Amino acid sequence: MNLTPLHFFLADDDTDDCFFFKEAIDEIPESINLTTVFDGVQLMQLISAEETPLPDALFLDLNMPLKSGIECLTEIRSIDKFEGLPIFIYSTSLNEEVVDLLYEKGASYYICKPREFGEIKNILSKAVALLTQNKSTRPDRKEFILET
Amino acid sequence: MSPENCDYYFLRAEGEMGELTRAKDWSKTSIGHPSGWPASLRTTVGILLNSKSPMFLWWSDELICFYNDAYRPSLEIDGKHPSILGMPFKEAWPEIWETIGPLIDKVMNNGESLMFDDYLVPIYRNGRIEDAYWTFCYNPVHNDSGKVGGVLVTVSETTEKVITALKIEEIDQRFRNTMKQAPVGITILRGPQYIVEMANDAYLQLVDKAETEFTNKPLFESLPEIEETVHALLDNVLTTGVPYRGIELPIPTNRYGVKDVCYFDFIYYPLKEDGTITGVIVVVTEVTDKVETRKKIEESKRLYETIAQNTPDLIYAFDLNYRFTYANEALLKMWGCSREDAIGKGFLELGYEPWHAEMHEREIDQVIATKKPIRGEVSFPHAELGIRIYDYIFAPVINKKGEVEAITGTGRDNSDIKKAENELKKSEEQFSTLADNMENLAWLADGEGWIYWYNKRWLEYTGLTMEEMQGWGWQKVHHPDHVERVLEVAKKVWHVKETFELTFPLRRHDGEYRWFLTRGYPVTDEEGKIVRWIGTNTDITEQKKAEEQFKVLADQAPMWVWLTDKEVNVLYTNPEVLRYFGIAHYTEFTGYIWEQNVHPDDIPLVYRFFGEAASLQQSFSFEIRVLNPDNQQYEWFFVKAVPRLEEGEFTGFIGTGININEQKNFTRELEDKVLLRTAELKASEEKFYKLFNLSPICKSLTDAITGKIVMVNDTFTQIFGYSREETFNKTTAEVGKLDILQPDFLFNELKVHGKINNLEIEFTKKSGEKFFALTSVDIITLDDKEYFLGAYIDISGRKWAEKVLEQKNIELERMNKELQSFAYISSHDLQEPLRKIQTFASRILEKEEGNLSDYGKDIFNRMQNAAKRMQTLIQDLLAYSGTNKTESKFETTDLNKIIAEIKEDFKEELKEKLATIETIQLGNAYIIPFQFRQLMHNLIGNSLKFSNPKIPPHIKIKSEIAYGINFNIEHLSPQGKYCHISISDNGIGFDQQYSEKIFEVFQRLHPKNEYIGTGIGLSIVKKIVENHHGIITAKGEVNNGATFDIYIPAT
Repeated sequence: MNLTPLHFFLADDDTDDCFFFKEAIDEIPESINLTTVFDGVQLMQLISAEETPLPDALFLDLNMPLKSGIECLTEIRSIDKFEGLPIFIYSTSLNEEVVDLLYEKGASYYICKPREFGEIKNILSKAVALLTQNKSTRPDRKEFILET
Repeated sequence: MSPENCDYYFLRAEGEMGELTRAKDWSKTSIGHPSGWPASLRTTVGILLNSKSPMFLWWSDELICFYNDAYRPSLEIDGKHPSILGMPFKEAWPEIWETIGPLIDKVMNNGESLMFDDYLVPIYRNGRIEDAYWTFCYNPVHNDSGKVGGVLVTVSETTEKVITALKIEEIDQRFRNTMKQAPVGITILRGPQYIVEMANDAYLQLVDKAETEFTNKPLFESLPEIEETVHALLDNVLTTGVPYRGIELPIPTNRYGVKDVCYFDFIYYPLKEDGTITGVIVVVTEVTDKVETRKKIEESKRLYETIAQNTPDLIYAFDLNYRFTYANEALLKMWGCSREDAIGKGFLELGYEPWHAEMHEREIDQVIATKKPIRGEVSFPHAELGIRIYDYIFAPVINKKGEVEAITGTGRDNSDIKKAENELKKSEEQFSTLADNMENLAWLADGEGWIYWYNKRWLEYTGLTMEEMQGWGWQKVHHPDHVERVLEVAKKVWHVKETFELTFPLRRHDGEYRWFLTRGYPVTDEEGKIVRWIGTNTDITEQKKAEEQFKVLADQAPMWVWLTDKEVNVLYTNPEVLRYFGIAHYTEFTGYIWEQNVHPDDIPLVYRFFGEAASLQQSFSFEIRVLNPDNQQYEWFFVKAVPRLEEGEFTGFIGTGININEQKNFTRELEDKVLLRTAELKASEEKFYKLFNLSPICKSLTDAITGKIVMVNDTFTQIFGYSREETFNKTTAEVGKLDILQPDFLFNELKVHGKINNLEIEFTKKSGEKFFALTSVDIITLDDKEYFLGAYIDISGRKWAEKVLEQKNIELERMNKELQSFAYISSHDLQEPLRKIQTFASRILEKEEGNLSDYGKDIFNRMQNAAKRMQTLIQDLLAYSGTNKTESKFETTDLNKIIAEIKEDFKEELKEKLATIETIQLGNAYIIPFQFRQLMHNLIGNSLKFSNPKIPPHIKIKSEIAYGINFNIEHLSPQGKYCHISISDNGIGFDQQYSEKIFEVFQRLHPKNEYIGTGIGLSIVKKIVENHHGIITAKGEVNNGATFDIYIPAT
């Protein structure tokens, strides 16, 4: 049990998914603060701002207006300040090629948005567990996709 | 006494005469005492006595004489001095009174002065009488009364003058005499007429004229022949005064009765008198002899020079210091230098080697010493020809005194002779070596036939020694029967300078006689005399045998065989000839025989060939008909003759004649057949033309060489719109307006393949309308000529349809692609709301479960199921549309690996249903791995899904590789190699009638509630098999399992 609440960033234009995400972290035992943005531009503005504290993890949807998830990932990974920031891709698609590309671009884990609410909770618990155990280690490609 | 005489001034004078005059007692004379003399007398006497020039005075009528000292010498001669002083003239000179008296009278009476020039008055002086000449002047002296009182004689001596004049005259005379007698011809010509004033004897002799007829006449009157030559010369001298000197001038002469041209040296010298030219002195010497002699010398010198310069021999001369004073052209050439460079030079300077120079100098010394010629031979490098050998002679030139004055030399290049000599020597050596080693017997004889040498072979053959054979010894080896004949011939042949031939038998050492042909060749010297004979004897025994064999053979031959000599006279005929022509012996074979037996039409042929044969000496043959004696029919014979050559020389013909009657007949039959066949061909060609013209297909016939249209049929004119005339002599390309490259391409195609098959070519009609025609061209032969036969089928309609189809296809493809992307995107996006529905539903069930009635819960579950089905449907659709992507890569893949993965996929289900998967001989396949994985997934999934609930599912998978022909499946290439994979199960199976239908999209054989499925799985399977260019079939029976057979090409 961690006393200091974790701080997550979620970038997703789908309000439903944001709602599910929020509900899910509220229901898991860890205390997590969530900051949500709805497109890539907002994300980059927020994350780059001096006053914004570095989050413990970033959950990134791929299909976003203005700036896609991949663009954001590429940009973030080119900035020294964000070195070691865990980035969880949070997307509906499970296209192998895209997954390969994301791994290459430096994403930490890949999560396919589940259909069951319970599964959302499960997968987020798993993510929290990963973060609290060893934050900075990037998994092998085999374990890149987080499954419930 | 009266005043003394000495008192008178006029008597005062010095000298003897002054004294005497004073001493004279003048009173005793008629003029009295000086006191009584008139003044004129006194004055005159005073002048007289005082004058230094001789003076004499006669005074008064008595002519009393006074004279002075100067005059005295002339009176001393005849001793009149001093006695005549004061004497009257008559008394003093009684001897000359007669002559002088009248003169004095003239002076006295008439007062005239008289002058007498150059009187010879010898005077005594210098102790002797001398001739003296004088000029006397008789001057009157007037007395006081004015009358002539006396005569004063003044005298001047002109002796010198006269003597000079005399001398001149004498010289002149002498000159003339000299001239007269001079050995050169001299003549003096005067005035422009050239009057001959004088001509000396020599001149007269030169011109062959007498003096009288020649002198005082114009020159050219006497010598008209010379006018042309000399007139102008003379004129020139006469007008200009410039002497002319002629040397060796040829002048025409006419003397001694002979007209000739002779040579003269002469001088024309102007004769000047008082500064003007009045004539010409001519001095002439005849030099004809000299000129002619010199000419002769020159000629002979020229001759000599020509010889010396043109001879290939070297000609030269040395002075006594070994220096060349002359060298002819040949020698200069040898040295390779010019005359200027050579003359005056010694040997060393001319490039002779020191030993060579020394040798010649020594030789010259010897010639000088011995005064005898010397001869030698030496080599010298000729400037052009290289080293040559010279034969040379040095000879002394001896002058009158008998001394050697110079040395002359001649040299001759005898390199060639030397070489020839050497070669002769060598060739003789070679000859004997050769002769010794040759197969033939050989011999050499002298001009008389005396054999002095035999070759080794001869001696070996006869087994006799050279000594035994020499001379006439050859008779020993001749056959006794022939020796006489041979001797007879031998005697004659030695005197005929021609090669002779003779055949005779010669005895071999073992006693056997063999036949020889001997040939003797005369060798003549330059004069044509035979110096030796070279002879060879060739063994002709075999030849003789061969000839006999030939005869035996020919005698048996079933055809004609005959021989002729050079003149085509028959030498032999075989019995067949004799039999056929009905003669007994070959000598009877004459032209007459031909005429009797040969077909009259063929006789000219016989004469033509045999007539030319002797001169052409070439093979000839001809065919003639000859009367067969057996059936009295003319039969065809092939007569052939070839030249007989003996050692390359034409000796006649050998001929044959063969009966070719049967062949001939056969040939004729053949020809008839050919004619018939040709006619048939013609008929078939006509058929062709008919077919061509009536063909409903557009056709053209084109000349294969020119490419020009020969004919077109009616269909052609209809389609292209041109009349026949318009197409004629144009190429198809011109008529059909093909683009530029196409004719070349077509022609090439024709050349390579011999035909064109159904090529689509766009033509243009006369109207300008374009159309596509399926064009075929064939090469055909008509009348021995090649043509292109073209056929054109208008396919414009088909073409249009094809175009439309092509467009449709493109459109379809585009639509298909759109559809695919639509399917992909829509199915992807469709999942989003579906996923939300499912999530929301799960949320409600989780959070509100307690609030729902059982009914509500049931409905909620149904909704969840429907959503789940929709999810599967969308995922399958996504997979189906994904299989359209054909860019996937083929790889050789182990099928076992794929099955293992699928087993893993279905792990739970297999476990649950107790199902087993059996793989049999599963090997590698050339496949797109992820697609094939999908394929196997679907098939195995199907088997599990449609399993018989009563028995555990068992799935058998096997693969094999074999040729298409083994499978008995339509659409497989029999020769293609295929991988056959079969999947069979023990499930519920299906009715075989649905074996095709099951592969269609959304086709289901069972209700949804019984077997969950979208009806897409097998469609995907089929699609994947098609992507692999393979075939899938399904076999099934209700409740008895299903089998899927997949055939995909193997590598």
